Amino acid sequence: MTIRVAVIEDDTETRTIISDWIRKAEGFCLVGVFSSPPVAIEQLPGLKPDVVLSDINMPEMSGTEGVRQLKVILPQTQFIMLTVYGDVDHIFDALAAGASGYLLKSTPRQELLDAVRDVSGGGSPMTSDVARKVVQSFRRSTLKCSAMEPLSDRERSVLELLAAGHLYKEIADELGIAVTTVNTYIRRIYEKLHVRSRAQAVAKYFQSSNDS
Amino acid sequence: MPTRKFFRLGHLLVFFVSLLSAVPVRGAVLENRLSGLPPIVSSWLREDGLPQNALSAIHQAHDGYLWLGTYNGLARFDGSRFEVFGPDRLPGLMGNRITAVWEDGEGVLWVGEETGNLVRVSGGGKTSEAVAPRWEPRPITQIREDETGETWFLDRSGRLIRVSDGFTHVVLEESVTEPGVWKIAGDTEGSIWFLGYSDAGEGSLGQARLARLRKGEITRWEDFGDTSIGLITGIGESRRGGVWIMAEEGIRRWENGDWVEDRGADPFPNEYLSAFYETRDGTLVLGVLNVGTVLVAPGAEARLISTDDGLLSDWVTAIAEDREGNVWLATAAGLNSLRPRRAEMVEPGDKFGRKSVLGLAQDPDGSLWIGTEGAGLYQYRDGDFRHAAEGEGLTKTFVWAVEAEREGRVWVGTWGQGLFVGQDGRYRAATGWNPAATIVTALLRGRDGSLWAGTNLGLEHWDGARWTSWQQVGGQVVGHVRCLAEDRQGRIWFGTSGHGLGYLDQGQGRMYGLQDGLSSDFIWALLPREPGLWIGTAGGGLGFFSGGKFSWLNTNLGMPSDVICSISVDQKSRFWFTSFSGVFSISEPELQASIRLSQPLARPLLLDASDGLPTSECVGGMQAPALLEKSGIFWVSTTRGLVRIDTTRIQRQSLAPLIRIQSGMVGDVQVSDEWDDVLVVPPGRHRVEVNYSAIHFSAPGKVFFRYRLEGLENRWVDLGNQRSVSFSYLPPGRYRLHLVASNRDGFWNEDGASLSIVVKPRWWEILAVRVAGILAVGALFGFLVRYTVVRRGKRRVDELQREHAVERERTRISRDLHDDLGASLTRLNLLSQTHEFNDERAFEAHVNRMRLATLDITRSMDEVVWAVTPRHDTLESLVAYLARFAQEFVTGAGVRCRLDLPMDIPDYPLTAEFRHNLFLACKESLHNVVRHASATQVFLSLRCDWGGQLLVITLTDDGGGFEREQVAGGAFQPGEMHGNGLSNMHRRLAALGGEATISSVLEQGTTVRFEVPLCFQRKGKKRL
Repeated sequence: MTIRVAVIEDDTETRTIISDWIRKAEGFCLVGVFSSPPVAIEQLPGLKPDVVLSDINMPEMSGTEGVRQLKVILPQTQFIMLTVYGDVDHIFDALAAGASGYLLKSTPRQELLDAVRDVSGGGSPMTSDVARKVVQSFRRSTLKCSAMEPLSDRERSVLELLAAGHLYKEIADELGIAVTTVNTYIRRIYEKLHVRSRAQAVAKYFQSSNDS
Repeated sequence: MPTRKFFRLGHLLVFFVSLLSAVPVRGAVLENRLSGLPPIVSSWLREDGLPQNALSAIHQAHDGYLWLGTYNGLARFDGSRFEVFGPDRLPGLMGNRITAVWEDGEGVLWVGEETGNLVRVSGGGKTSEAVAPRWEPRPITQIREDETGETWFLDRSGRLIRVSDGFTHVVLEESVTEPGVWKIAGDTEGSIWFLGYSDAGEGSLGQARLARLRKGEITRWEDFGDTSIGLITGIGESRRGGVWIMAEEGIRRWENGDWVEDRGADPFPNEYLSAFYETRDGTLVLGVLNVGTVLVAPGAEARLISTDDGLLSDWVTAIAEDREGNVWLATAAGLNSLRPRRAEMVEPGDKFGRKSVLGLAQDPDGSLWIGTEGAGLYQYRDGDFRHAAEGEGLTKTFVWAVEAEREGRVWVGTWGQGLFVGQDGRYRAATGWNPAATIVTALLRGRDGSLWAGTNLGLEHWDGARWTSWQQVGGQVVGHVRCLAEDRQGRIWFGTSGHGLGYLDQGQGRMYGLQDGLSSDFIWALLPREPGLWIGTAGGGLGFFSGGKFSWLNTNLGMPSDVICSISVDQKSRFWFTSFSGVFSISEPELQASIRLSQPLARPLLLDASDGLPTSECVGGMQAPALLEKSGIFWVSTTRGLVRIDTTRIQRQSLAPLIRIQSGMVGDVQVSDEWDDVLVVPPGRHRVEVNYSAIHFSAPGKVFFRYRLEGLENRWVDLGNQRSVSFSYLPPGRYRLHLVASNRDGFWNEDGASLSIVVKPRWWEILAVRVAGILAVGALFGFLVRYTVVRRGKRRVDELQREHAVERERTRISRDLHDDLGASLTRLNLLSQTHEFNDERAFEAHVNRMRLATLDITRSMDEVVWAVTPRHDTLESLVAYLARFAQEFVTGAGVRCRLDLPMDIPDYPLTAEFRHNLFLACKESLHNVVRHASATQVFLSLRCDWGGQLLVITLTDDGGGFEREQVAGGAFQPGEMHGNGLSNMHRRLAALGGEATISSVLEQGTTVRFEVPLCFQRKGKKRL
């Protein structure tokens, strides 16, 4: 089965290189290349990509905002963010908006392709600093909202082990579960995070409209 | 036949008087004349921030901003940023479709809309209101003021309407089918001139009708007397009085009842004039539909600028000039600017294309010889190029060096086929030439008449009879010679690629390398000049060798670039350099002073893309990539072609940018805008940020800023090109922030702008004052006096310490940028210049090295960015960054990383210095683990003890450990540590008031423990 991939990146050079990698790699099909999220929002739904690679930092609309809008239209599609620096705040925002992973732009070709394949096959990468941010976000929230589901005990254990620097394999051993199950937990955490961030956005909107 | 009464005696006098009075103005803008070289045409589009590409109006307000009207809103432009003003910011605006913008004598900006709505904007956009309409609304196209201060506007149906009462002049009773051919023009006396056409039926235009409104009275053009000039096609405003009239018989200015100036024939009499503007230097700028923009300067031929030259559209709707002398064209497809050019490109227009010029030489007859990368050799004289083609015997088109002599003889050094010699258009290989020396990079005619050549193998010398080779000098390999020079004593100096500098003197000589004090052993330029030798390096800046000693000037001391491609001196002892950052010039005394005393340079005059260079990267690594003629003409080869600069015409622009403070932020909240004079900071600990901009149109990228915060320190602090300044945590008090800016040529606006900042004290800070008062009443006066004295002393010490901290931090950042980034970038640059590989594996390995170098750069950048970003000034950010770094770094080396970090971290603010020092200490410790410990796992834990007052970080590994240095209690003294890293860790922790302890058991691993008091950190911060 080929993986249908789309790329959103404003820098022409980077865009060309990454699209080229995907076009030439076996098992991948490049379905669309876009220079900005608004264009992608218009055209992507018809292309039904499995995975979208999107830059975070773009002038017209940020990749985070793009994912927020695209994830609603394409709930089955997985989004991977591309970033120059691993600034945890930006990455966390993108994940909360609906992305399921991120890659540094300096990632070598083979690693990038592996990561895309992994995510499309149900994998859910998460690094320890992001895990930390997720735990904090679930703890600190003061919002009361019915749409918000708290983390389950298992999900919390997975996050805490991740934050303490354990690899997926080690977490699976520690909790006596399969690696694919770890992936499932992480993906579920992403979904909750995504729902929360939407709920928060709605709450914020009501708050501000009440203020004015 | 009508008689023309040009220059009647009385008016002649008026004309001369007006010329005289105009002289100072003309002198001031002379340097910015558009009439010299073809102007630089630049474009701004929607993607650059314009609300829409179709522009309808443009006007420069007295405060310096350019206001632009579009059909998608009103925009204000400062040279680098567009700000859109819609109905939300300007109450009274009805919509977005703006059709006219104009500022009256009192500084009120009038904005006309397509709906017929007219808005009065005061204070540069601070307040606005719609004028109650007393007229039938139609699109407003032009607005002017009469001699009594009344505002009038023209609408699209050709009615001239007085704003105050709606009084309407319909100048022509005949109906008009074609809208937009109506124009009004004001003159210096407050008359309003009005041009329209009567309808001749069947869609064609009939008789032009010109009339003047003065003191409420309309005078038709026919009634001025004998004014015949043929069919009038356009009118335009003049800065000097009267009105410009374009007609069949030419372009002339009419003033006080007579023609006073003639600019010759209308260059495009059959095309529609869409816009007209007279600049301060008297150039007429005409927007001609279907043609483009035409510049008509006094005493010069009309110059056409068309879409081929970069004009976005030939439909120019309005024109303005900024106070720096740049002309702005509002077109139907975007905004264009016309800027005076300082450098022009010279190309033969054949297959030369934009190939690099690598060698330049001038023969005694004044011809310029040009060696190119792949297009052979050219001879250039008085604007004509002559190509020395292969048919003439020059079989190699890669010409890297040229030397021209008397009697038409030319030496030509090639890449690949050694040296050629040419005579009268015939070329042949030089006889007796060493066949292994295939690349000739430098050629120099010695004063004794012999020829020196620098090659890939070293030096070759021709004494007129035979060649001598020098592949070693003073026992050292010479390598690839890149440049040659002869000093007064007749010594031949040579610079090499990677082997440093050397000289030959009567067959003897020596070489100088890094160990002798060279800053780089890639030497690209040499210039002997009493009392020493100037040296240009690739990456190490500019050097001066005198009295056996090298001194250096680099970017740390204000040089625009560390890669110097050539060094020249003009007749006025000004040095001209070409570099990777453009062409720049510094006077000899200033250079001497700076290099001897290692003093920072003032900003040099720098020419780059904003002055007309095709790129700022000049060609380097050759004998003569630039040539300065005695006449002051400077030929510069850039990597995108050959450029000619007339150095005698280049003057420093002496108009400094205007500064506007735009907003004040406390934390993430905006608390003041551009019209506030005071920024009030609420009690508590807050980050204060002030955003500002400069109004500068010539080269906004080259504007530099400085600030001084009165009340905190009295020093000016450089801000570079950044347009915001932030302060972490100002103590309660009153401050005044002063900002100044310099233009592209380093000319400072000393007045600048300023803003008061008031930081309110917290309640207990006020209470403390009261308690102190009660205490004073309580006869503890003596104690207080003592206390005050001690405190005052402490405050000074604190202030000094703080200043040093800032200084240290800045030094560190510049060192990091220089050491890490500079080294990696130089490496990358050098790697990218290797062209030959033995096989594919060598090529792959090479590409991989380049990839690793770029990875290094990304990593270093990440670290520097993190260290300097004020947003990261918190404990949480330090912890998060540390966690990510540890995991990436250690895992990359095949070691497992375990983290034990508290999830909830107290909200401590940290200084950049604090977190960076702590980060570096941890980084060094992790380095030791990876390098020396042969561990499989490292454990990083972080705790806040003593109720959050003490930060404890421990790093434990399961590696080999060590025994020798262990002392009682498991703690080490700094002097006893092995390795620089360990003593560095101690030094860093000591600087933060903390300590590092290391305990290790042989074969059982090592534990490094950092303890830092956070309260120390907080106290230290109070003074910030």
